[in-house]
Amino acid sequence: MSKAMLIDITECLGCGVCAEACKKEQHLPGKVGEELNYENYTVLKEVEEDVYFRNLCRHCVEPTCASVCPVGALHKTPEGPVVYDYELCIGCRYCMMACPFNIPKYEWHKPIPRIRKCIMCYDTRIKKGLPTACAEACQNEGGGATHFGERKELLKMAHKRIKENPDKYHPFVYGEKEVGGTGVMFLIPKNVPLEKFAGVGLKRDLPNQPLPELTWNVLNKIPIIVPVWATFLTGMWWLNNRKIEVEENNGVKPEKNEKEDKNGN
Amino acid sequence: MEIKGIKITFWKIVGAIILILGAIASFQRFFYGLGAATHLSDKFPWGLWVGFDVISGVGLAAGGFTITAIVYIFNLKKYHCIVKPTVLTAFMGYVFVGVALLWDLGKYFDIWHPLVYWNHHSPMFELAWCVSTYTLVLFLEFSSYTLDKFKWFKKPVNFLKGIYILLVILGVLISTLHQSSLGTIYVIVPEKLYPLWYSKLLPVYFFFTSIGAGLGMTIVESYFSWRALKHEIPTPILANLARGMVVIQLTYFVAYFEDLIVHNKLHYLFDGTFYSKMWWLEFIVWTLIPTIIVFNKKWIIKRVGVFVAGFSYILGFLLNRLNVSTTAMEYSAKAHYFPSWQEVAVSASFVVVMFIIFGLAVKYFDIFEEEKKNTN
Ligand code: SF4
Ligand code: SF4
Ligand code: SF4
Repeated sequence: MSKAMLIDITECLGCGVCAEACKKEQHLPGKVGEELNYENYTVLKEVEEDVYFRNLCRHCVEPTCASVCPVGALHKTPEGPVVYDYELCIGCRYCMMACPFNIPKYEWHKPIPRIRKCIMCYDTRIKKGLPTACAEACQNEGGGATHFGERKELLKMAHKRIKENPDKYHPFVYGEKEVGGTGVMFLIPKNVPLEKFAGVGLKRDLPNQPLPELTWNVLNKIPIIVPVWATFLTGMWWLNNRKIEVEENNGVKPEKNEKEDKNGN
Repeated sequence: MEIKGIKITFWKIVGAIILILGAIASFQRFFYGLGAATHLSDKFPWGLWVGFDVISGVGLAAGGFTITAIVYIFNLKKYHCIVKPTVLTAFMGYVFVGVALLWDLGKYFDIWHPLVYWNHHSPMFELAWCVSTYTLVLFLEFSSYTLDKFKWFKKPVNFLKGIYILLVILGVLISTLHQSSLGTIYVIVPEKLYPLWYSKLLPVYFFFTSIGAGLGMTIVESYFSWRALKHEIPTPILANLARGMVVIQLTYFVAYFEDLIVHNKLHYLFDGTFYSKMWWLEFIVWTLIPTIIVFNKKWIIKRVGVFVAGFSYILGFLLNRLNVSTTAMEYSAKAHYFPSWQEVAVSASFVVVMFIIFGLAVKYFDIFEEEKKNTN
């Protein structure tokens, strides 16, 4: 049930109609830029001659940004897109710091800033059963590199392409497994080394484990630790106070502490 | 006396200049945004205001739970004389963290949101809850021995005194949770944090070393109250705190170092990069110097020796927290970050304000034992 996009980098012409369509759809100010920022949800990067990489939010299956946000201002919708709620956001920027792909951006120039990132055209298109603006533009006016559909179907299609043209693609789909899988996936041309893409946004050092699990494995220990720790502390308090009581009953003054002073003198 | 007089004026002038700069910086931040006042960017979203004001600030205020646990749970009554000043500084520290956050949060007026809109998967959410509740606990602890000056408060204060041990235990519990949460914040960025500082055990390290920081800060504070306010805390008491501090630090360091070995990270120490240099600096200031002083029988019985150990530890602690939050993050951000003068001015202003409030509190509340005896 999860909507997704597959970008076949071999089909990308670098025309940039996706970025222009996004500007229109999301009412973003300014001209199409070179870097993701508050006015660009998606940008093209020239990796080498005639090879372009399009960066945008990957709509992770288990989004790190949503997991770290203290107020739940980012969340994954049942349809797949990871969306943002300005009303809830407190502007702490933990999402920016934690996102493995460095996607969320900030309105640094504003006194009251918002987080800005691709929301997969959630309210205007996905909810209505339409494809994203960038995918539509790419298919109609561009090279047809961005495909929109169900994540499962797209993965099938991607693997079919790899199988039929093993010389054309690196033998894996980027985003199928990285950080537990992402909603935006890439087919990478074989004649370009993977390291070249690592620098622009297809990092190679990511684990297949969803990153939110890392913190959850710590936080879910809290209910276990609290009762144990509380019992220990209360017990220590009882023990230490009792010791003094007993000593007083035996006529010993509780001077144990004073002894240590001698070391210091 | 004359020299003293000049000295005090000198520090007053410095304080005033910092506060003025802080005010200008605050104006810029609130009217023109974070971009205008800070060196933060999309590439480097967290800087000094997170690394120093929050991550280090909470750590340095750990004296509150450390000392109350020592005195009330472990019943080492001879440390009772430092409970009040420590709880006061801890309380101020937490208030300072909360207020300083207003400068860093984009939507500062929504700072209360985490208390209402929950996401229990976020370490930041847990931090928000713990910091707010613990500030309240510290406030109650502090009220219980300051407000009985006023007739009206006699009854509630007696009640607080009755449940004091509960407050102490609650305080230790909440502190355990949020001191470790500060480390948990960084557990989710395994490929972004430089390998020398990343570990899945960061929460444990952060909790453990916060105890050391609590003890170290108590030593540093008593130095200031000794210098400025002439309140003397017996050196043997402080020396024992320094010993405890070093024992905790060495325990932490062995655990940390084992983790480096297990994950084959030792070569990072000797590769001569900026990161390795920062690591060595941190190690020398935080672990080595305090250890050498504490194990030297001649140095540790002197007031100066104890203070140098405490100072060094606190400096090293700051270095560690800033290394985690800044140096180690620069590695993946591929951006260099150095705080703007506005960021420094605002953080420094908070420190100045704390000094002033501490001084006033000492004057108006009986926070040092000796004083109380005199007035009785
Ligand atoms: S790519 Fe980043 S911003 Fe997008 S869903 Fe994943 S974690 Fe969130
Ligand atoms: S900046 Fe906003 S969206 Fe991002 S983590 Fe903080 S509160 Fe959540
Ligand atoms: S999915 Fe929508 S918001 Fe995202 S890049 Fe495409 S057009 Fe822009």
